[in-house]
Amino acid sequence: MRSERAQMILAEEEHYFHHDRIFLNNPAVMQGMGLAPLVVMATTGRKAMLLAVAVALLLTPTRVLCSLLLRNVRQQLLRTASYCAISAVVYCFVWLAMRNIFGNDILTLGLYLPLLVVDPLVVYRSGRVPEPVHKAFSKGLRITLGYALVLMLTGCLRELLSLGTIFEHPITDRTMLSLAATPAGGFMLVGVLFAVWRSIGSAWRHYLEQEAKKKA
Amino acid sequence: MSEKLKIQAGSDRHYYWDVCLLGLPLVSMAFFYYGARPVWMCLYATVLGNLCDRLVCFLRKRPYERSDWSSECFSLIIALLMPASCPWPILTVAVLSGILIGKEAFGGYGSYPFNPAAVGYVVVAVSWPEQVMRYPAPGTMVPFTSNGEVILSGGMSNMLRNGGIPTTDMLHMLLGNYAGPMGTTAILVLIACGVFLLARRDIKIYTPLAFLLTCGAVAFLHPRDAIVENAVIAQTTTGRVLLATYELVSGAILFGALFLATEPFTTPQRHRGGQILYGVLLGLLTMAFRYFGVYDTGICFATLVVGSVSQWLDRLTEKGYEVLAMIQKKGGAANAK
Repeated sequence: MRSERAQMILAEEEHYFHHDRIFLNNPAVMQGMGLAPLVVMATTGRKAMLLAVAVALLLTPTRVLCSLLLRNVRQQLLRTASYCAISAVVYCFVWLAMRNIFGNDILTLGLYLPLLVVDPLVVYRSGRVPEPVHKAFSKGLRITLGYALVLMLTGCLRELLSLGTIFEHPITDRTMLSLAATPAGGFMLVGVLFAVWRSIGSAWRHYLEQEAKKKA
Repeated sequence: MSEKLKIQAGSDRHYYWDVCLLGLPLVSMAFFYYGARPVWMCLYATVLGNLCDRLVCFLRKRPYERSDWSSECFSLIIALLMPASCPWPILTVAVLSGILIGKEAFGGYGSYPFNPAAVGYVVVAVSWPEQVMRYPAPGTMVPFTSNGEVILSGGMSNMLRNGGIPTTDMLHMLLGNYAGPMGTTAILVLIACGVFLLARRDIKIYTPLAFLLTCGAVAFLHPRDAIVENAVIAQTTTGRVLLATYELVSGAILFGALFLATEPFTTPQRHRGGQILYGVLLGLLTMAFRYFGVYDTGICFATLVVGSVSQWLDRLTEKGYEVLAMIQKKGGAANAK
């Protein structure tokens, strides 16, 4: 580990780990955001990919637009309502884009595609202080990456367990746990996955801190 | 009374040990009907439950203490709910999901909101209904590695669902000589187990009795035979009683009344009213799952649903008693004036 990185970690430990939206501070694993589409809809790799694309097209533009337009809005109720309205407007373009790219496949997501408009993953920022545009852009991208990673992992795992395939490519000829395709199985699987993720994250964080102290 | 026969007040740990002990006569009946495989299944499930406890202690970096027997008890109940021909991987998944997810994930002993045995059963019942809800006929010596060569049937529950009337006579029902989950068919043994648990004060009679009466009442008033159901009750009493009997002995109803509906931490314990209400709700939901659902053993599903409100039932009953006490106090004060 480089000494500059070690010093940065030691100087602001909490800030450094808080910044890592992909692994150590993943929005779904650590903050419990976006669980409804994850548990109910991400039952196959393809569905997970559709959701990931939708979040990618919706989250960052919404966040950037809101940071531009709602910079001076301080009233909480007005801020939240405006955030959702802007998210809904962006969603219209997202839906058109996804329909052009994926066709009728987006119908398999049912209600959970438009529900992304008011998902905490997209609108939680309305309850915080206004942020500058560059931060909105970078955080939006990092949160999108982190959530997409969890979506793909969950979708592929559930498809493998329930159908024996990944993205419809056969891997095994038997189903290991058909309950994984249901929301109940999704809850259990996501719980186990998050427990393993957090324990690995905790061990990695401990390792980074120890290494940073050695280098410093 | 000698020391050996002295009735001792039950405690939670006492309950789990006693239930494990009661597995012996149930497994003995299963051994008589299906050979040695049920014995190995129960032993395997019990050992696996204990290993799950040890694994969790290792992960939590705590020393393993002498077991409270709860994991072994739940594993044994799961095994007894399975058919004697249940494949080993399915039994493994059932025990692992019941203990690790149903019990340990929520904090371990005493912290689980749902009955872990019901969780384990439901996971495999939904995932593999063909293997879990089809049973070998009594007298079939199931081989150790059962690979589909044993002939399976749907059991009495399945026949009732399809509008048929079972032809099993009372003696065979009492002795468990009909197809079903391996530990739930010997009615006489189950009744003896219930008496034992009551005598040891491990359970109270209110919940199981309310549950069984509710199930019986639903089956009596709405039997699953169209001819009997549409006829006048007074003229078809015998038929209704017979059908209600079949409903009560099938689908692990009696087994569930004794071993699922009496679990200390997932059922109301503080007030008699709460226990009776729990039993009634459980009975209604169990019959609803049996009548309108696709799974024969509806009690496991109903246990999970009603278990989520069991503590609320305790609080509700307590409020009810407080209101009654206030009313009585006001009435007493008015009379005194």
